[in-house]
Amino acid sequence: MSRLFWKFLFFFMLAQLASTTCAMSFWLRHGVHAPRPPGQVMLGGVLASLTVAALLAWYVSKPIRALRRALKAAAQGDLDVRIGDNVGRRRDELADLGRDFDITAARLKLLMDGQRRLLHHVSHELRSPLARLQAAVGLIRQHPNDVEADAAIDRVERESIRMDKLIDELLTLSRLEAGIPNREEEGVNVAELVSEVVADATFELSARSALVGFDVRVDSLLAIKVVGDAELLHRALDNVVRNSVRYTPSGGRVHIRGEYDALRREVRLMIADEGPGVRAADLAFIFEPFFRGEAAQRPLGHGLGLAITHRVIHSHGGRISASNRTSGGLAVEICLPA
Amino acid sequence: MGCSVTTAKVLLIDDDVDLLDMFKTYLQREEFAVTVTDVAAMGVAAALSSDHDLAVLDVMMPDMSGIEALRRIRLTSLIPVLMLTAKGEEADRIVGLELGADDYVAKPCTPRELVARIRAILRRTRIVERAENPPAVIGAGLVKVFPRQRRAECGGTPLDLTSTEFNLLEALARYAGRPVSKRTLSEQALGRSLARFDRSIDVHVSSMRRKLGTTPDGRSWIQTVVRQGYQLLAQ
Repeated sequence: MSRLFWKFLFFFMLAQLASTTCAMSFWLRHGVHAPRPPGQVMLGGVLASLTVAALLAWYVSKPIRALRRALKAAAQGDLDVRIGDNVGRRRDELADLGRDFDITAARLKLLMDGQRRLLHHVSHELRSPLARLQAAVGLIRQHPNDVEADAAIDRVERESIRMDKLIDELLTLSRLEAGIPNREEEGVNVAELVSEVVADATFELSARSALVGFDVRVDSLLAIKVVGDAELLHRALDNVVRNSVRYTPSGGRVHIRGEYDALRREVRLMIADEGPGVRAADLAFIFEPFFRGEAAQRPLGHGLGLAITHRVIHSHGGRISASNRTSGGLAVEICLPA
Repeated sequence: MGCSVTTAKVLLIDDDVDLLDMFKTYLQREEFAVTVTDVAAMGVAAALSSDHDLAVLDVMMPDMSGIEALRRIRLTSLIPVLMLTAKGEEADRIVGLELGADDYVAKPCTPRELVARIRAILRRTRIVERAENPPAVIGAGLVKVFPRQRRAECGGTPLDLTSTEFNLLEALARYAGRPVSKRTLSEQALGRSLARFDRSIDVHVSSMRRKLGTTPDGRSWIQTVVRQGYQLLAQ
């Protein structure tokens, strides 16, 4: 039986005991044949049980009142309120309820702060292309029929594509956060996934005639399959590889290693670049939305790629972490259960 | 637009290189001489070189460097500064005005708005070069404004005012002893009509109060007249 049950039982017993003690003591003194107990004795019995009952009522209602106050405050948006102090060292279901409330409020606050930060970043990120759009339109209006106007029209197109892409990524991220109800589950060959992503990246690099090479060793994964959503996993991996390519200087290489850990039954992928790396203090934040390293060169994207990867890997029951290589550059390690 | 305004030298400081390029082209075609930089520190150095008539500064540059740049410019220079702020970010705007920016434009903005705002500030700062003949001194007791030299003093001590603050004080001194509405102040000092929920005038006035100190009997030189505006005491 639970603690609250025993507390109630104890108090009711105590109330009964108090009133019976009064009656018993009267009978013991005057004998069982006394006609009826006088008023004082009756009053004493009633008062005794009243006191004990009031004690019980107060003991039960106090934490409930605290809980109500806290819930009211939370309903009005104040998630900093905590019940822990009111409960003290009490241990029963009501105290547990209070502690559960505290945990819920803290978690909600964390989530809401995250959302607020995201909204702030999003409005900022949408403003930059908007400012460029307006400037481009201004140039076209100024002199509608010259070379600058053509360039400005190209700019309008580029900026609108960029905004579209950002919104698409935002939607993906929010879908991932809400959880995907009917995700496609299938066996995905990670080695094949890697070669697809590398092929895409190579194609794009050759179109820009950029000189970044790949050093891929994933042969040990050829026979291994991971259960999950192929499209999401492709996207997750693609984001990491693109990020590595972006920060690798011309003439450098992106290294991809894959291995299977038979003991922990997981696939381990390491993607490393030869770029400037990330400040040690920033390593913990690179999977946050819109994080941008300081020392890093000016980014071309908008900082949602790695956040999406992070969510995808976690929704597949995997882990992702980043570290600086001793030889310079950033290494991202992905572990997926296989 | 007088001819002196159109040949003005404008310095643009913003971290968005593409945007800078477009603004530069636009302003050049409006016959401004334009210098651009995307590094805050270089912007500060350029602003302090006194080769420019006005600086446009993006205060949302990464790591608060925009606000920091403004602070460093104002340590030694009174060059007119127009800041670019984010729409809805009231805090940035107020901090900027408090640090001595002359006015702001909310970004994203059309280049036409930007040019209009630049011209408004330049018109006011170059009032001496216009055909008008301003009086040599507008006196309001201890506070004296010298429009021709664009300087002011309080009890004989020269005041370090930004050009917007000078314009405000000039407008207030002209009507010393009488309240001047915020709308009039906005038109005369900022060269634009007062926007709704615009607190620029209040922020400028509060930093002027700091610079002016108090009257001999301990009151603030600039008094708030409820629902009417501000008044410079004429004593």
